[in-house]
Amino acid sequence: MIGIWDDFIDNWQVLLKGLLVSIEMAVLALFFGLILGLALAIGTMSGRALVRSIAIVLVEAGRGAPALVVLQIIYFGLPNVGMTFTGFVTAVIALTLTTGAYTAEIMRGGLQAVPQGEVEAGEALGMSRASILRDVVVPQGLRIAIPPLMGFAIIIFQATSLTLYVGGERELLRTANSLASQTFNYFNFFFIAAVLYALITIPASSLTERVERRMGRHLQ
Amino acid sequence: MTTTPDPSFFNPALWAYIALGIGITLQLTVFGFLIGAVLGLPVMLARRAKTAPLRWLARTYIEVFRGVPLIVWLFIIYQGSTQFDPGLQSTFTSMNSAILGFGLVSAAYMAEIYRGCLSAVASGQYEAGYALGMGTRSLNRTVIWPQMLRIAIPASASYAIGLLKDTSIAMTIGCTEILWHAKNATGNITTIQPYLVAGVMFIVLTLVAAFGSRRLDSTLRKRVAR
Repeated sequence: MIGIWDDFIDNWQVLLKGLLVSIEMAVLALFFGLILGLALAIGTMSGRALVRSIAIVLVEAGRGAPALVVLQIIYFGLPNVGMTFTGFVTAVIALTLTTGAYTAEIMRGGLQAVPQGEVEAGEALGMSRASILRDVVVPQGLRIAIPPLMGFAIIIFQATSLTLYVGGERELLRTANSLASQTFNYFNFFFIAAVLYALITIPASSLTERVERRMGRHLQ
Repeated sequence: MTTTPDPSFFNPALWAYIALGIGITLQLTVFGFLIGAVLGLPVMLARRAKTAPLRWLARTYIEVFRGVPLIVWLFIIYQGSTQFDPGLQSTFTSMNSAILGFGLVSAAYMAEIYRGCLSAVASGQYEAGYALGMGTRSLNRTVIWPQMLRIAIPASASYAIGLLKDTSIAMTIGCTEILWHAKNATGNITTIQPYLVAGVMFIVLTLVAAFGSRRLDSTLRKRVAR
């Protein structure tokens, strides 16, 4: 063909390395982002008005601003307050914040789907508020939130490609971009990048669909 | 480029300068979404077709366009086209490439939204239509599809709002939208203030759009039922 295969064979090691970096970024952002998201989700349901409003503002701002804007703010903002990290760490921090805001909404949906009667039952048994949250609401709520969270994980994996514009780290798209500008084979390298992204996202989305169907089985 | 205003958050000239990008952001959103909303219908129909190859084709389209990051599509269209013929750059300008990319990706998402809404139209509607002796075609056109489109409004609106934010990706191929202006205003200095302004503008735009779509939905609920 137009040399797509040759371009891949000549550079497969760097390209796969780039894919690994992208995956690594997504995994780290999801790990920290889910912790942040759960904290924000519980915060938005807090009885204290101050905690609740701070959590709501953070979630709404994080969801309202495009990921690319958040990336730029973190990338230029952290050095301004005297914190400099590598491109990789900066990208992970920015993606963590985006993940936190989005997953907070998803998890809040899950937590609120736990019937109020269960909370009342816990209170009637004399359980503390913290224990009700930890042992009753969170385990069930998170279970409900699993399929949408998986869907979001796919989105954040795709979002790692946006770090091309801020990070110094050679994730997949950045790798493809520099190979493309060296050889002028723009189509070839972006096509290869597309295939590599799809190799991860398409199986992941069919897995998500299967989990969703499996968890909804009792409803049918 | 003419001189850019002082990049300070409280400088009104900076706000005015970044606001110059709002028009392009809205154009990208509206045209991208319209292409998606129109193209999504045939894709959805193919996805539900009786012929298996047609179904597979639609399924592949949806999976591939949703599975590859938007920025990669923009690069493939905008820069990829130059590999074959540098002259293509005049056809695939920044704006054309971005609108085409957003449109093709939106079509995949909209097809899935339509499909979900079609199954939400009660099956009794089909039975009633057949009982009245209507043909499948006229039943679809006059009974099922209008209801499907009505049900699709909230989900389509939240997709369009997501797209509004995603259009910021078009700055990477040189569309002069909000974020492009913010980046331009920073010049060589490391400052986040223009980006904060851009963030505020995106948040305001999405809030206005969300408010508008809720209004539309509740108005239709009162006037058209559901």
